[in-house]
Amino acid sequence: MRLDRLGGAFDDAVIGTKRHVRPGLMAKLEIDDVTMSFGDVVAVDRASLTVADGETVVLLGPSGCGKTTLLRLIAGFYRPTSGAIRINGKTVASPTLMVPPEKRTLSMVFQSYAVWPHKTVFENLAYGLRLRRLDAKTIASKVAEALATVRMDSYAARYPSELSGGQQQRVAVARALVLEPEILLFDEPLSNLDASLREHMRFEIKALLGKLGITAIYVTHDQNEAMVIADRVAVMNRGRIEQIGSPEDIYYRSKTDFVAQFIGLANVLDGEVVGATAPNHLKVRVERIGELVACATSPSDAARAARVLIRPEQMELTATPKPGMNTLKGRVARRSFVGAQTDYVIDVNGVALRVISPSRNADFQLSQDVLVNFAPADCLLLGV
Amino acid sequence: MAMRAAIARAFEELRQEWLRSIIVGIAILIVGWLVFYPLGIIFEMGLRAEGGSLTFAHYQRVLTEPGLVSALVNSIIISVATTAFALVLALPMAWAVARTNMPGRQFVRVSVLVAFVVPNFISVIAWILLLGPNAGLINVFVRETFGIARLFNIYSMEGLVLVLTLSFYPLIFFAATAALDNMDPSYEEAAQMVGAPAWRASMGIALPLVLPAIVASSVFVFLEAMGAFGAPAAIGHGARFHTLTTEIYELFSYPPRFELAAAAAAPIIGFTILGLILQRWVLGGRRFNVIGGKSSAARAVDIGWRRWLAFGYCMAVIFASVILPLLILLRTSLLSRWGLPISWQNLTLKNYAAFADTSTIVPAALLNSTLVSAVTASACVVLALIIVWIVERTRLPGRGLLTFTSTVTFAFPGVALAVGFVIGYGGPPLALFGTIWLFFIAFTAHRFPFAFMFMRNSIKQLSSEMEEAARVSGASWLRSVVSISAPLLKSGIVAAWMIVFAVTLRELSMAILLYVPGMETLPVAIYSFIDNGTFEIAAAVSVVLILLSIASMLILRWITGKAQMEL
Repeated sequence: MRLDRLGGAFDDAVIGTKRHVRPGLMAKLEIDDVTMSFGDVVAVDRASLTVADGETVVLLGPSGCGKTTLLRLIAGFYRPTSGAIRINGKTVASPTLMVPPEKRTLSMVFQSYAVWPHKTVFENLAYGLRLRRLDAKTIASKVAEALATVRMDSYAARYPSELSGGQQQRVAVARALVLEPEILLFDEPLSNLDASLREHMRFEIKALLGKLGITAIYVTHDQNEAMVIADRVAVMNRGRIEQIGSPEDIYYRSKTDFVAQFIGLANVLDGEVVGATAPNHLKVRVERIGELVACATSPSDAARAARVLIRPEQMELTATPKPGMNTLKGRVARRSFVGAQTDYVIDVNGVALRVISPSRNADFQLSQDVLVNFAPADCLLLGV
Repeated sequence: MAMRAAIARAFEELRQEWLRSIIVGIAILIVGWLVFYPLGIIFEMGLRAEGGSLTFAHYQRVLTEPGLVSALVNSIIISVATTAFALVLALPMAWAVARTNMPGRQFVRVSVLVAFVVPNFISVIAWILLLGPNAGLINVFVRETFGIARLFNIYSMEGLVLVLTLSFYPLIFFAATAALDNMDPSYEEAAQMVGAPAWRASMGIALPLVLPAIVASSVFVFLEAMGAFGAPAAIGHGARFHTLTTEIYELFSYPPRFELAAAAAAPIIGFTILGLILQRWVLGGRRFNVIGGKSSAARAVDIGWRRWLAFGYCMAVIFASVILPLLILLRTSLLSRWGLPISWQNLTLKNYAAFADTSTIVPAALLNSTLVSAVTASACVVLALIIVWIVERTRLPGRGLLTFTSTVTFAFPGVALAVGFVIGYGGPPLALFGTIWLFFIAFTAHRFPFAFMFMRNSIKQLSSEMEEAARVSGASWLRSVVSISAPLLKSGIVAAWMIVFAVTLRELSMAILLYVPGMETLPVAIYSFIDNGTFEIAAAVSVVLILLSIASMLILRWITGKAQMEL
């Protein structure tokens, strides 16, 4: 019911604040070696990030990784311990300088929505415009426009308590948009919605950001949400940005163990580089499994202790070996049919490998002997 | 190092937003001054010898001078006995109300709230009229019916314990019911599943879980009993014994002996600090419901025919603590002389006419009480809004100390605190004694914790993102507080104002030391009518005071939905 009503709400709406700026070269936001510590706790550790005009960057990481702190540093709720933040080349925060949030030409969508319960939807949107001393007519038309953008125009006179969670969420987005900010910040905006609505809203927000061409920083701990929304994803762990790249980059070319494990399912094996077979193709010896041919992301990876990543869906189970592939002998230790896919755990000489295989492929039963095949290009050497 | 950096950054943050810093700084100074100045004065005064040199002589005299020693011993005996009897009275009631299918549970909750509203200096009037050795109504009845001289003499330590117990048992009742209400009944159900009968599940599982709340509220009862003034003064006067509070009052009357009074206040403060430490220890990091009004959970234990037994017990306690005293007060307030039997020619409204008679102190007292309570409530609420905001919304170092400062006077007996205020503001440069300003200052210091705790609860329920959303919308800090936080906290603010107003209205133990003729408050007026034996006017003023208190409690309940307060 609810989904029907929301269907494609943003897609064909009138976009008033349309600017059609494509991701360009100009740096809209620069985070320059920023550290934030609270007493002894280092929440953000030397983070650097440059966001282009019109680009959407998602800060992704587990709770406590510092992503929300970084967002709040950008918003102006914290002052960095060291480093600087620049918007349009102008410094807004450094240990000695602090532009307060209300002077930063950005706006924010909060986790709890923070739609003011004592004001109507209209008043929620008009609040910031009034502070900018716009006349009543301009305010009315801007509010109407922003509400139309999120398809909430018929709810202007309602109070937040009369709205559902998803509708409050839209009001929160409209309230942020109506101010026509240079940068839009999102702090886990979908985490309070139920699962189906959350999935739907992802695509709406993505479509909206694409249409408005607005620069956005989006914080989430949900990797699927990050993949949908981001132009680029910055994966954070223990206050550090571990990797920045396109969703494909961080998935297929994970640089660290943490990124590999956090983005999707991963088999990570400890080994040792023992030689090279071709440029960028290295021989790695893994204890109890034997030698594998792996692919190095950078040439300097040779001849040292190493860790390899193989994604479960990049492995193929067969009865006979496949040429040109890494092939390991194993036995099915667990098998779960989950619809389109079958989720296996293969015991290879005491090492458990997770394999996800399309269900229409050959089926293997529990305790059956099986061969695990994967291409050298899908066997990725990680930084240790 | 890290600490230093944090402090440096906090100050930097303050420097950045100067208006916020000024408001925050002033609020901290005021609260610190309000609390620590009088306490400092008490200790300094108690240590000062004639010539100004340091001495322990005053403290020694508290422990050696016979009058003071017996006052100290009396206070301890009375407080311990009151706490013990209050526990015995309140715990079965709390369990029956919170956990069983006893009939009339909501009525019991409301009645106990009314018992709490009637201060001990008022209920003592009723008990003197009922159990006075010669003319007390019950004693007269017993004498005429059974020929026994008397059933009970209220003018005794036992009499005082009776009055105080019936006055303070609600504190334990509230804490225990709140703890039981908030406790997950599945603990008890789990015990029943493994074969324990209902009562046994409650004793074995529920009791240990609510024990911290019971201990903490027992500490409050002990401290309230130790700090009570009205009932001990009225009964002690007739029975010729002193407690620490009445002794301090004596030491203040002409010729005043301030040093000794300060030294005598020290044991009260010592017990308070010990009590607060004990509370902190048993509660650990948990919070503690002082007043709980949550309606009973659906999962009540069926105790069969025994529920009528429980009902009878609760009704007996309520009859003794609420209905009987209120009926006697009403009766007395309508009689032309308190000893007369009820008949048409004895009934009169002239006692209430005192409110319009400017030849009595009553009209001025009503005005003073209302003014003092309103100003105190307003000052407390404004201060609390700022201090709570600091504690909940900033990272300023020393927030723990600020919280401690803001709550420490909660359990402080008014008499002890008043000693510090009278001495500290008795002469230049702060010669405010005898003015209404000292009432404002002293009551604000004493009652600020109520406002602090109420506001803290409501600000905790308000997401800080509400304010932050205003900031990113372009509002300055002050504007975000005024246009977003304050309206959203409105009901919390009004509730805090009402509770402070209500408790200040009935405050006697501070006012009795602060007032000078012409500056009486309603409680002081009632006390002086008791003192000179005009019980019928005392009763009339009491009835009005109780009605005012009940009205403010009702407004409070109506605003908050439930009269709940956490510490």
